[in-house]
Amino acid sequence: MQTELIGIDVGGTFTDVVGMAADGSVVGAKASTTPGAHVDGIMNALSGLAETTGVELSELLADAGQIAVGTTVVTNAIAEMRGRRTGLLVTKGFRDTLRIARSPRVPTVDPFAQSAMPELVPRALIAEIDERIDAEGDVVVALDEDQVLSEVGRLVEEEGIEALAVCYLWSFLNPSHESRTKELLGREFPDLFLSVSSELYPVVREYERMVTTALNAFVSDVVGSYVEELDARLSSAGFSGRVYLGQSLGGSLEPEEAKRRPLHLFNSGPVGGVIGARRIADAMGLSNILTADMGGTSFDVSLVREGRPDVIHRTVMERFETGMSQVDITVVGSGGGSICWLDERGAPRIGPHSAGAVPGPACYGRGGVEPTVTDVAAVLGLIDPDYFLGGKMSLDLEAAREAIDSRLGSLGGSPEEIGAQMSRIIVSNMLQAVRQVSVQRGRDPRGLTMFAYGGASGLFAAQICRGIGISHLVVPNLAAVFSASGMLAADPIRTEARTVQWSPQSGELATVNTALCEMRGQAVANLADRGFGEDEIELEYVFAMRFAGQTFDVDVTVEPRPLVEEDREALVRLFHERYGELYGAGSVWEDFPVQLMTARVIARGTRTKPAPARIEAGGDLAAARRAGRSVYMPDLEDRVEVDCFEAVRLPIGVAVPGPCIVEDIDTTIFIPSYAEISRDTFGGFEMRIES
Amino acid sequence: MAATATAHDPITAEVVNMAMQAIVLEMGVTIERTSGQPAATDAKDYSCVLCKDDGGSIAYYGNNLQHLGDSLTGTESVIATCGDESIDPDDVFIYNDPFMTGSLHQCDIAVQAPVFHQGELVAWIFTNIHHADIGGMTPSGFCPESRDVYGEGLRMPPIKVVDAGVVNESVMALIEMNVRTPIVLGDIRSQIAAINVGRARLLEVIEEHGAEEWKRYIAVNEELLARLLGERIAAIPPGRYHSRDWVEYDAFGGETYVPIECSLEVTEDARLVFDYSGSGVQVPGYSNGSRGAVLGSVMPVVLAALLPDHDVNAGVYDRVEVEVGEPGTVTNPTPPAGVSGGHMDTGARAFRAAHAALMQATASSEDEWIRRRSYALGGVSVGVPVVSGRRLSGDWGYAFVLDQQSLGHGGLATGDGVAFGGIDYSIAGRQPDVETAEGAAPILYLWRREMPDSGGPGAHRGGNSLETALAPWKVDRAELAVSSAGGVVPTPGARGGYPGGTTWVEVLRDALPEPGDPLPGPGSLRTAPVPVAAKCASFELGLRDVIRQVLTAGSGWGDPLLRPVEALARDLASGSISAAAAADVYGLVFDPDGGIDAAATASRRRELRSARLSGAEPNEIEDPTPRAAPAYRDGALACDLCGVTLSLGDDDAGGELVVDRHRLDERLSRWGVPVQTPRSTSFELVESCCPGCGTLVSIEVAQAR
Repeated sequence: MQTELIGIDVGGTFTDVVGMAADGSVVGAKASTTPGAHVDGIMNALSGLAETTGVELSELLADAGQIAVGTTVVTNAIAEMRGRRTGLLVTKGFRDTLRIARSPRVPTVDPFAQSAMPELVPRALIAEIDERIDAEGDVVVALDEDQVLSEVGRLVEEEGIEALAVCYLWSFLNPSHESRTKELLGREFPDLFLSVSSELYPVVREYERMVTTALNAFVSDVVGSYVEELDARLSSAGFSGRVYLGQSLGGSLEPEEAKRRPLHLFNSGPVGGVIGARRIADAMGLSNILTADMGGTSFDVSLVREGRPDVIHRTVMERFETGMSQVDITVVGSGGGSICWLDERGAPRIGPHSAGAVPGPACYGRGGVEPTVTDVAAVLGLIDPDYFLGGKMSLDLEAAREAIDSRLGSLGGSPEEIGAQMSRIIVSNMLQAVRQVSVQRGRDPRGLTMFAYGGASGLFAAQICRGIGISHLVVPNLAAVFSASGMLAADPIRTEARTVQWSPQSGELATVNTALCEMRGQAVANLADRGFGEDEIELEYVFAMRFAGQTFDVDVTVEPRPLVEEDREALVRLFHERYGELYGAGSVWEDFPVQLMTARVIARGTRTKPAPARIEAGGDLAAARRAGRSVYMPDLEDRVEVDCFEAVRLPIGVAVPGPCIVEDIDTTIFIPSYAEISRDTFGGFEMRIES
Repeated sequence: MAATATAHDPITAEVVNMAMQAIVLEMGVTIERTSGQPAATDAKDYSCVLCKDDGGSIAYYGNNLQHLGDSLTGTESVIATCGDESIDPDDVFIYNDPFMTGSLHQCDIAVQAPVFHQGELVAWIFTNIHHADIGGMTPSGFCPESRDVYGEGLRMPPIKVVDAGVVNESVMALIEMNVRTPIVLGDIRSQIAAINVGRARLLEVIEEHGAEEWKRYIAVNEELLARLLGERIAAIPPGRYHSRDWVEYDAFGGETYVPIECSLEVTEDARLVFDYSGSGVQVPGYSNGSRGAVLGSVMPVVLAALLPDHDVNAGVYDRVEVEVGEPGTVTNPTPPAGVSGGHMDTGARAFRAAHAALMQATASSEDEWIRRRSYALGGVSVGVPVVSGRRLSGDWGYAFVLDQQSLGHGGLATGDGVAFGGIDYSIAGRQPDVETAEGAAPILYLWRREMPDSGGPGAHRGGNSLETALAPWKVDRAELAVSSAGGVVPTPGARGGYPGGTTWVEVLRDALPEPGDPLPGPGSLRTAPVPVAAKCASFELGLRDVIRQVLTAGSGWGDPLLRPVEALARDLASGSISAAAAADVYGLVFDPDGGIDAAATASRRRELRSARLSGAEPNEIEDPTPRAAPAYRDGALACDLCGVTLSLGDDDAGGELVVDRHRLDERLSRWGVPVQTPRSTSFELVESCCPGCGTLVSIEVAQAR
C-alpha cells in the first residue's frame, strides 16, 4: 500500500500513527511517547508504521504528501508553566488583573484545596500605562507614548523579557491605543515577539482577553522550536511534503500560522478523535453521534449534532479561563489505569488517581499494587491475559486478584465478585459524563449513536449505552489509534471572533455586516495565501446570543452572508429554537429582547480526501472463532463460558449475538447478553443494544 | 425511622449516592443556564436540594452553603402549613418569609415541589435563587435603612405557584406587581424548570431501585456519613468552648455592636452542640438573622473543618445541633424585626463565632488529621455598594459592585491563605470583569488591585484583598447605597495569627481630575475621605466624586515571628507586603544594601518574643518550622516550640499563658491592615503567648472593658 496521508497523535502514554492510502484504506501503529523529546516518539511510531506496511521509513515518507500532527507541546508548556519570559502592558490601575483572575477559588467547601493562580507574568514584568478608553469607546486619557517606550525599554533591558503582551481596557471596542503601541514597539523593538489583544482576541471581558494574549506570548517559542525540529527530522528521513498541526477547533494549521497563534494547538489530540468519528459517521449516514474515548487516564466524551461537534468558547487551559474556542470535550478521571479505592465510609471510588504507565495496573506485573480498571476487566475475564497487545505482553492475573483482594476486600466476596461490583461503579462514573454532554445539554441520548474508541472503551461501551438508552454503538476500525486517524480528516481552519453588541430588533445592520465582512476578509485572505481557491473555502458564521440581562451565550449558526432586513426576525426565532432545545420546553423568555454578543467567522480550506475505504465481503465466522473463555458477567452475576472471535476475520454484516468477546490486537470488545455485534463495511464494528 | 445499616451493599449505596448527586447537579446546571442575572450566574447564589419526606437533605448542590439551613426549615414549614390540605403530585410551592420558613432573606425565593411515587409522598425538591429584587424601600432586596420587615418588600408564606400542574397566574401577577424587574419572574420559571428536571430524574431512579430499597439506601448513606463525622468529632476533646462576635449596626447615624455568643459543646458521644443563647437583643432593622440564616451558617463551618471530602446529607444533623437562642435576639428575631441583610450580618458573624469556637476545641486535639485542619477564616464580611446614576439620556443605571468575590482567604495550618479567594461560605463565586461592570452601568473604575499588607499577619499569612476606586461616569446625577457587614470588628486569626483587614466604602469628594488628565492612582488622591455608613440607603454623590472600597482580607494563622524569611522574601518581591510591615510585624532585618539579614532577623525576633514576656529571657526555639504552639507531648499539653507545659483551659496544670491587650485599630492600622475605628466603643486584641518562649498561642478580639 502506498501511504499518502499520515496522521499522528502524541498522547500521554502512547504516540499513535495512522497512514492512509489513496483508496482510503488505513493502517495504524503505536510507540511509547518520549517525554521531553516528543519527536523521537513520533519517529519511532513512523518506523513502526513503515514496518507494518512493509516498506522502508524513507520510502514511506517519500510517498507521503502530508503529515498532520496533534501535539501536546502547548498543553504541556501551560501545565508545567514552562514558557518565555513574558512582559505585559496594561491600563494604569489594573496591573493585578491576571492575579485576581476570576478569583482563584475552586468550587469546593475545603479551604485546604485552594491555591493561588500560577504566576504567568511576575509583577515586576507588568507595566501600567497612562491611557484609558471607556465603555463607549471614547478616549478618556490619551496614550502616553513616551511611557510605552520607556517602560518597554526597561522591561527589555533590565528584566530581560523575550515576548510582550499588550492588553488595555476596552481595546476590542477602540483598538487605537493598542495599534499605536504596536506601531511604536515594532519600530523600536523589532525583534520582540508581540501579542496584542485587539488583534488576537477582540472580545469583551478583559480578564479572558488578557490571559489569552499573555498565554499566546508565553508559549510562542515552544511551538516554533517544536516545528523546526519536526521539520528537520522528517526532511532528513526523506519527507518532502507538508506538515500540518492539529487545532483545538478540529481543523489543522500550517506551522507558520501556528507560530503566530500557538494557543490554537491546545488539546488538539483528543479533538482529532471527534473529527475522525464525524468522518466515519458521515460515510455511514449518521449525523448525531456521541464520542466516547477511554484511554489510560481519562474518559473523554463529546457530542456531534447535525454533523457539527459542540464547541465551547471559553476554553479553560489548566486553570486559566481563556477566550479560545475548542471542540467541547468532557473529561472524567476514569480510564484503564484509574485506581479503584475505598473512602473512609467504606464507599468505592474510581480515580482520579491513575497508575500511569509506570508502574501501571497490577496485572502488568511491573510492581503496581493498586487495583485499576484494567485489573477489574482482567479478573472478570474480559481481557485475554495471553493476547494483550496481540500477545506482546502477558497479564499477571494473580497480581490483579491480589490487588483487588488486598485493597477492596472489605466489600466482601471473591475478586471476581468485587470486580463485578466495581464495574457497576466504573460504568456509573462514565454514565455521568455521558449524561453531562447529552441530557444536560438538552439532547435526548436515545436518538444518538455512540462512537467508542481508545484502548479500553470496548470493554464498557455496551453497558454505558444500555444505562442511558442508546441502542446503536460503533467501535470504529483502528479504535486504539483512532485520534491519529482523525488528524487525517482535519482541514485547515481559520477562525476570527469579535465582540459585536447588537440588537436584532433595533441595531443597525451595517454594524454586524462590517464586522462580518472584515473577519471574513481576514480569514479568506489567509487561506488564499495557502493556495486555497474561492471554491475550496467553506464559511460558517456563528452568533453568540443571549436574552438581554443574561450572562451566558447560546451559539446560533447562520448563513454565511451579510444580514438583510428579513433576517432580524429569523435570527430571533433561530435563537429561541436553539435556546428551547438546550434548556427545555417553556424555558424561553418569550418577550425579552435578544442580543448578539460575539460574532465568529470560521473558514475551512477543503480539499477532497479519500472517503473511508469499504470492505465489501470476506471473513468467515468459523475461521474467526477462537477458544472460548469463562467470563464473570456483571449483569448475570455469574461466570459464563462465552465465545471469542478474532476481529479481523469476522464476516461483514453478519450479526453475532452476545454474550461474546471480539478481540483485536489492541482492542477488546465485550458484547453482553442484551446486545449483538456485526462487522461493518468500514472495518469497524456495530452493536445493537436492547433497551 | 432510619433503617439500620447493619446489612447493606456498599456498591448500591454509592450508586444511589452518585445518582442523587447527579440530579442536584443537573438541576444546578439548569438554573445557571436559564437564569438571567449575575447573582445566580456569576455570584452563583443559588441552591438545589433533594430532601426526604421530612425535609432532611439527601443531596445538595449549590454555592452558598448557608442554604443548607433554609432547605430544611423551609420544607418543615411547607409540611406544617400545607400538610393538612391535600398536596397534589404536580403542585409547586413558592415562599420566602424568613420568619415562617427560615429563608435567609426575602429576596431568596424558594420554589419547592413534592415528589410522589405510586401515590405516596417520598421526597421534596428544593431550589433557591437570590433574586434581583423583592420590592421594599431599596432596589436589590437589601434594605439597609428599613426600620422593620414591612419596609423590606414582599413576604410569602408557602403558597402554590403551580396548582396541580397549572401555573397560578394570580400568584405570578402578585409577585410581578411587587418587584422592580420582570427578571424575577424569569428566574422563578428557571427554578420550576430545575424542579421538573429533578422530579423526572428522581422518579427514574426510584423506579430503578424500588421505593423501599431507595429509601433504605438513603438511610444507609446518612448513617455512613454520620458515622464518619462521629469518628472525626471523637478526635476532639469533649468539653465546652465559647466565642463571642459582634453584629455592627450603624443605620440612622447610630452605632451599635450587638454581641453574638456562641457556646460549643463537644459531647462525650461525639456530637457538636452550638448554642447562641445569650446573644444581644434584635436591632430595629435589616441585620437580624433568621433561623435559616443561623442554622445555615453553622453547617459550612462543620463541613469545611471536618467533612470536606464527602457529599453532604442529613446524616450531618445526627451529629450537629444548633440552638438559636431566646426569641427577640439577633439570632432568633421576632417580627417586625428587619431581616433583609440578616445572613450577611448576623449569619456571617454567627459563622465566624462557630468557627472560632470549633478552632478552640480542636486546638488541644491529639489527632494529627484534626490538627492539620486548623485554619483561619478570610472573606466573611461582605459589602455591596450600589451606585445609581442618571445617564445623559435620562434613564437611570444601577451598578451593583460585586467585587467581593475576591475577598482574601485565611491562613491554614498547611500554608498561606489565597489572595482574592472569595467569600468563605460561598464556594463558587466568580469575580466579574471591569468591562462587564462598566458595560452594564454608568461607572468608570480608576483602579482595582491587590492591597498590600491587608491580609492578617501570621506564620501563614492571610490572603490579601482588593482595593477598588470608581466614579459615576457620563451621568448628571448620582447616588450611592451600601449594604455591608461593617468595618470595625475584623475576623480573628487562628493559632496566634492576627486578624486581616475589614471592609468599608468611603467617598473622596471632587477627586476626578480635569478631563484628559491622567487618572489618579492609589495613594495619590489628596482629598480626605468621607466615610459612608455600612448600612446606608442613600448618599448623594457629586459628579466628580470617587468611591473607594476596601474589601475584607484573610486572617493569619500562627505566630508571624515563625514565618520563614524565604517566604517573606517572596512576599516582598511580589509586592504582597511592604518592607515596613516585614520589619515591624515579622521582625525582618535588612542589611545595608536592602537584602535580608537572616542572623539579625533571628535575634530581632528573639527580642520581640522577650518583649512579650515583659523582658524575660525567652526559651530557645530550636526548630522554627511554622506550627501551632500547643501540642501533646507524653500525654501532657506543651509548647511544641520550647517544650514547657501549657494550660489552655481552666483545669489543666500547665503554665499559664502570658496575656497582653492592645487597642485593635491602632495596632493593626500601624501594620497596614485596614480597619475602621469605632466611635462609641473600642475593641482590643487579647494576645496570649507561651510563658516559655513567647510564641503566640492565640489572639482574640474583645470589646474594651
